[in-house]
Amino acid sequence: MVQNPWMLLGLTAAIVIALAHRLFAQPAKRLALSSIRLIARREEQPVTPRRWQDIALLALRLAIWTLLALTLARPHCKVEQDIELFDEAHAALIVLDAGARSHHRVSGKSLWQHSIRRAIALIDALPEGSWIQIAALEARTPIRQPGYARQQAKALLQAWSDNATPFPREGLLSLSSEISNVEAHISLAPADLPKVGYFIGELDAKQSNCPPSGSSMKHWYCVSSLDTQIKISPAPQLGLSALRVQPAPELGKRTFELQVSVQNYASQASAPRALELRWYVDDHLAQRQQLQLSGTQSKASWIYGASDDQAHRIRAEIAAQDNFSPDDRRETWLAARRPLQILLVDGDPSEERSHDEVYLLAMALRHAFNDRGIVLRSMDPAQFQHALSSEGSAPKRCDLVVMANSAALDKKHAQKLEHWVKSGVGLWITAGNRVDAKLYNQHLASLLPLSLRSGSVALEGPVDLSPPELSHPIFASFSDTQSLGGARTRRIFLLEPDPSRPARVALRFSNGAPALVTRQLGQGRIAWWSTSIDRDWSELALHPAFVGLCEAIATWLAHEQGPARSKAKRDPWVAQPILLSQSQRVRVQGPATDSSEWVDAGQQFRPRRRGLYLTSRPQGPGGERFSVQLNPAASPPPRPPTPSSAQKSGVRPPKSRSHRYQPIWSELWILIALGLVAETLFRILRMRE
Amino acid sequence: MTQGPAQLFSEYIPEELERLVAELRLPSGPKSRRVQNGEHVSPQRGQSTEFFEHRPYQAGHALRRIDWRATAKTSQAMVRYGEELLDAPLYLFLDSHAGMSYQSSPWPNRWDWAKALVATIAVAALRQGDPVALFSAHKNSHAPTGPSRRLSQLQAMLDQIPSTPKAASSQLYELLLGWEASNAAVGRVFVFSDWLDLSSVQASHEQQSQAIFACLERLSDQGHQIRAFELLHRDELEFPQAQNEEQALCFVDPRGRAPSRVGSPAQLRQDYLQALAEHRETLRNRARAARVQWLPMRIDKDWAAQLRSSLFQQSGAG
Repeated sequence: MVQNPWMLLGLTAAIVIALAHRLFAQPAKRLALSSIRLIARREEQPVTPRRWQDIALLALRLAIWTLLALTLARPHCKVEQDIELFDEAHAALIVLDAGARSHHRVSGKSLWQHSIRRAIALIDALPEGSWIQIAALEARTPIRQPGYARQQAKALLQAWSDNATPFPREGLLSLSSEISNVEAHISLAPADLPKVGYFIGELDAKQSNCPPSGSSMKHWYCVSSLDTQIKISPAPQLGLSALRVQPAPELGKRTFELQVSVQNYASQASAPRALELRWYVDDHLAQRQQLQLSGTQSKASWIYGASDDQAHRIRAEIAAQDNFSPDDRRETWLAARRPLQILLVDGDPSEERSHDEVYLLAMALRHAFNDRGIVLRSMDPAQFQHALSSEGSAPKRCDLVVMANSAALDKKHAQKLEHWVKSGVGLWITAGNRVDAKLYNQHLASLLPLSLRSGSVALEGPVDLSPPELSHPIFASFSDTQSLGGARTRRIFLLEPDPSRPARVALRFSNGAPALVTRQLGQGRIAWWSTSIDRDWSELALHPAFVGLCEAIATWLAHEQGPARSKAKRDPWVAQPILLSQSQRVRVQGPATDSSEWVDAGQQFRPRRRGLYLTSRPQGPGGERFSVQLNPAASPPPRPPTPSSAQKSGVRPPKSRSHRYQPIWSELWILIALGLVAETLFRILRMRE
Repeated sequence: MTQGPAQLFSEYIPEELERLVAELRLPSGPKSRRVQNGEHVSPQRGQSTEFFEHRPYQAGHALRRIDWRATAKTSQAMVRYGEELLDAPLYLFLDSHAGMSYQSSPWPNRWDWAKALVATIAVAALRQGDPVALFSAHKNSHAPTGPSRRLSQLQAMLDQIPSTPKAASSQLYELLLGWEASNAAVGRVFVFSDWLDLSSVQASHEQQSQAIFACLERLSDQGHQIRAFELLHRDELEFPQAQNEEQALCFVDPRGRAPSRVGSPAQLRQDYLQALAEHRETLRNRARAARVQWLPMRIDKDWAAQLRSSLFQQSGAG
């Protein structure tokens, strides 16, 4: 069994050796003899018989050549391998290493494909009746179903193998750090089967990543995806460093300078090499640059001028043609947006900062728009009125005005504010004890979505926020809507319903009163928040969803798009609350064997761990299964290991072994060297004769 | 002359033959009645001032030896055979075909050996006061002035011998025939050759061999004392040796005429030795018939001892 069967053609060269041995060995001795007349002429050509030493020498040379050809063909031998299998049916969790290093190609195949091959061999060797689950050491591994039949598992693995880039992921994940997520896959295995984990991947020298620490499973077997240790070749290993972006305002409003450096990671400096660096904008080739890489690093920069404010994906790419492709490209999202400029009108400054509306609002907005960029200006109502007077009908440096518990403006300034809004400035009015309903209705009637009732109303009991109106554009990109439920509110402003006004209720309290009402005015948008932003009337500011809610409202009011930044920031695989049953109470068994909880009818289940969940009802048909994918960064830390069913059941020690193929060419090199030494000694002995 | 002849010809006479030059005395024939210049008596009967006997004239006899008075009395041509009273010249013939230069370690080249023998005998003859003439197959093959007792003459003759023989065939027959036609004085004729292949472009070895011995026989009839030196190499007598018996040998003709022979020593040796024995036996028989004293010599034996014994060997001559 060889890896390089073409080299077997080299065996045919042994014929050349035999011919050379025949043709060039022992040429006839030439003598000029005067008595040649007396030597009889012979018809047949003389055949020089060989001595046994000649035969031995020929055999030795042929053996050396054959060994050389075999060695270059990289043979393997079948030996007992280190995968230990139980000879009884068991629950086998096969975990494949799928980090970025799985792109590394060895012998024409990536490590990922090697792992797949090993996994299929392992599945074939599993005893009948085994329960099989497959997972990859990657947080986004899809869980198709709990447990696979043998053929299904192989088909799934084959599908993964055919995918060239199955799980692209930066960085490395170790089995130990992901053990809780990995073990979630085997939670639904039959309880009577012993649980055994098989990790197939690139094992380091000390196999420190396997068996994993902190595993609740007793039996883990670590299988190298390769038969040999990977040796990093000294060949040039090129890669791009992180892409850096710097605004270049001196060159243009939407102009950026992108910088990237080509790094040669080889241990030895290579000869200067020409490279082509390509810049892509949204997968379209935008620029080619010729680089001369000499030494270990070469820097390149590109001036990119965006045509609009939209976010674009910028990618730098080289054709390094080395064994590790993931670092040949770097990409980033880039949007030529100016910072969001928000003017905060603090109508009720507080001596204690933590009780100040503007402080709480500023904290939330800064956090929400940290990546986007935000400029906050805070002023009192008098300063705001001065600004309204001085900056005219269209302010240059304001996207959104937040009137937080601010007293009503006079008519003159209210009109100026109306001009602002019509010109596109957003307006967010929040209620509070400084809000006078009468003055608001008189002076700001054209701005308010709905008219205010007489005054604030203290509720008999605290109310929560109801689920939002998801059709409202504010919540188009807001995924934490369900988490608003815990924000209790004690005092609110009530609004006069008026169908003639273009108002739209985006969010209500649990008593049905509108909490967030919006309207459109000219090019601007207006939002009314019926309670206070600070902690006087509501606990919303202390709620974790407050930041997201502020971001969503500010984004909509400031005419910001549902940004790509938001999509990138919020991974789509964050676990969502799930409504399991409207009619009856349901018991949910989680991935961890000791985690189960009851979910009341109509309530949403909030999963905390990634993995498979099993629901069961006290009455009615059997439970259903569903899978949950959870952002591991947000998941709780792994639980301490608990005694597994395998330990309890007292799994017998492994009785059977499968096989692996071990390379033997190093031994063949030794044989070749010995053969050459023997051949040399042979020649020396013959010369002495 | 401040130097002895041996020292003078040290270029041609190797060290092992130098002593022989001083000791060697060339054999003579029946004792002369009148010793004139040489210290010995010529062994040949023939031209002399004192009558010895008459013999019928045969082709090849010199005309001056016809005794007209006896011819008139007997009505047939009669020639006189009498004891040679004059000095007996020494005629040296050296075959110089390319095969004479055979060499095989550790022995020297046969051509050098042959030249050494010729020079040794020539110098020894000069020391005795005998005139010497040397003939070899080169462009000035004949001695310019015939037999001479002068060392300088001998020096000139030796210098004309080529350092390496390159003739594609033996010219021995042409040499002897040409010399015979010159009616030279009766003397001693020494012929040096390997006698292995006497063939020429026109004639085979057998034809040439017969012609040469016929010529020698005529010379014997004319009263010349003829000695044939058979100079052989050890390889030619015992077959060349190879590194091992299985190693193939490729024999080529040094004269470049005969096709090569290829084979292992084991395959070729026996036939070769048998053919060689037959060849040498034929030569000995022909020499005996022609009254030629046949003197085999081999390079791997003591040169001086062989030469001394050969010169005083009485058997084998006609």
